[in-house]
Amino acid sequence: MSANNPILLQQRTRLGFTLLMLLVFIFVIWSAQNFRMGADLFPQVMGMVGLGLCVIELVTQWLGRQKKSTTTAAEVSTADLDLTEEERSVEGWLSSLGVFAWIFLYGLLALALSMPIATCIWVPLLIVGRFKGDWRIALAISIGLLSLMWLLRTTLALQWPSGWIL
Amino acid sequence: MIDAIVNGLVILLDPFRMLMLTAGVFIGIIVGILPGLGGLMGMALVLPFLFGMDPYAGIAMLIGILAAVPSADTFPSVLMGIPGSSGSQATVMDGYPMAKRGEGARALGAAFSASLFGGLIGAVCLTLLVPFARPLVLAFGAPELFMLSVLGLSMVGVLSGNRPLLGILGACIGLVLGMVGGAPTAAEYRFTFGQTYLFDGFSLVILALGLFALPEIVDLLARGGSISSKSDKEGQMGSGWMAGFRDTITHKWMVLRHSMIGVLVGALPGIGSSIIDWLNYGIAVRTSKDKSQYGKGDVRGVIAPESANNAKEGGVLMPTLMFGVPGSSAMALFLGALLIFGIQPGPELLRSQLDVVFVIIWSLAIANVMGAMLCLALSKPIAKLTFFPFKYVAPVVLTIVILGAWQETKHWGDLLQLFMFGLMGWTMKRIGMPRPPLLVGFILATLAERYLWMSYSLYDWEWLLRPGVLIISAICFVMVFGGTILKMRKKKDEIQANEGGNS
Repeated sequence: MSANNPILLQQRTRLGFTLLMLLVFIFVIWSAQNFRMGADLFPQVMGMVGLGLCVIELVTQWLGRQKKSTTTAAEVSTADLDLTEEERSVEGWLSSLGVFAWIFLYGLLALALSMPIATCIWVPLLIVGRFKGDWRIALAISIGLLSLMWLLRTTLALQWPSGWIL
Repeated sequence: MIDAIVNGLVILLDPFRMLMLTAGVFIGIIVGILPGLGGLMGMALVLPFLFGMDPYAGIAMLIGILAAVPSADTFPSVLMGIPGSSGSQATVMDGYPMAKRGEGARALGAAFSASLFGGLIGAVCLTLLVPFARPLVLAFGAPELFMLSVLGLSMVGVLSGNRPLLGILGACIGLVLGMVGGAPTAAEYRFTFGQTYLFDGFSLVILALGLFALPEIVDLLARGGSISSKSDKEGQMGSGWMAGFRDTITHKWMVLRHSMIGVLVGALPGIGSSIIDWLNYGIAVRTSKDKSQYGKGDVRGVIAPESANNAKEGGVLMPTLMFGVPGSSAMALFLGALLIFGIQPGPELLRSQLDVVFVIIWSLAIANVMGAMLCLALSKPIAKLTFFPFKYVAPVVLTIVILGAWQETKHWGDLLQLFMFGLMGWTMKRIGMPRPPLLVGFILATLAERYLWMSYSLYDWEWLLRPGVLIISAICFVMVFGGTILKMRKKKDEIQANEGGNS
């Protein structure tokens, strides 16, 4: 049931995130006890405030479930970007996580093989392999990116991962 | 003083100096467009070439970079939801939703025209405040600076909308992330786990790129299609930037007000320019009658931070020139450049080399006009990017984001940080937890802790009764509770009116 319900998925993720933050704040308070005088006050105070807020958030979530709340993300109004209906769906979540894995792969390739080689491998793989795009455009983008990197290195002295293996 | 103003302009109008100013503006635009790079990077790049150069030409070039970056960094913020630099984070909130609905050119037009006016107001304020800057800057001690940090934190309430608990929790997470590294109050490295990489703490640039850029790239790629949900014809690409310009004219008082705030806050050394755009965004939301469209593509959410972002450069120059105290990291570099040219900033500069001060002010004004005009000219073709299939745009953007993040320390930890914060931002977006408060908390963590400790060490608890502290406390109170009190009063009046009508 929960696997297909975006609201439940959101609620469970929020619960998981809040519990993780609760652990972080407990760690902050615990670690701050060993800090020198002056350096310990701020982490202790902020840790306690954060811990208290996490507890209140958990209670709010629990009460919300008791009332069988049907709060949806659509009711959220903050100074942040809204999610589209498609992004809220379970398929949207999974699809996004898949793209995250692709980005992670790019980072790993860049660290292992150097940025230019990683770009030459990853860009066509993503465009043609994952998104079924035109291979000619993929090639053009790869060449364009290599040129951009060369230009940035020569004009702005920018650097990039040089590769652990190569 | 009039002589010095005219003399400053005559000195700057030399062809070579104008060429250097233009070159600076071009470099500033390139550096500003690339996410993760800022004015500091641009100035560091040209600094080695300044040795032996005509001082006025060198100054013009540096100011050109400094003035153009806050304009050009709007491109990635508006078109892709990626903060171009730390000063354009708040522009993402409304600029990007505008681009998504096909109004990218309008958002850019509004942003650049607001930047233009903001920059000019900043230059005028710098001119007018030269005689009064000394008492203004000296009036702010550690207690007042701490209260300004609190004022920044009070914006969290505004940025959290109808999720105050999650917003404040986000700010607390930001404050905790900001504690990583060397403590500002004692010789202690906190939460570094023995890793030298963490001794300097997390990077604001990587945090901003991770929180906002990666989740947007991921979601757009997963969704497919282009950034704009409308086609080029449906959108307002052709006439959009003129509409944006008209928006700025319509909200002229907003431009003036936020430019003044930008100058005043920018003039305070140690507050940091990163918070100015959030502070102004928060004030714009709080003081607007209709708040419903903020975060959904309200042009006022673009105008307010952008005008302040450019105007602040005038403010940041005040302590640098008056006292030799750099108001930001870019200003520290500028100060170094002045020393290379044999110019000693401080009161003596105002007495004996006033023409140098006015060359700087004129450079700032002209570079702002040049930068805004160039950006306006580029806005139409660059805004067309929002109509391209994103699967072809994403690899380019992602490569630039990774390159930008890598420039921080050139360590593999930079990429790990980017990815972790990206995942965190994506999760926060999914669970409806506002991300801006986390960024505000992170920016203010070190400042708040440092100034609180300094205030207590210097004045015990008596600092709480200082006039400046009381005034800023009152402003904080009005910002946090003003709207609620007004609403309650309005409701009470309505009830009384209804009762009166019934009787």
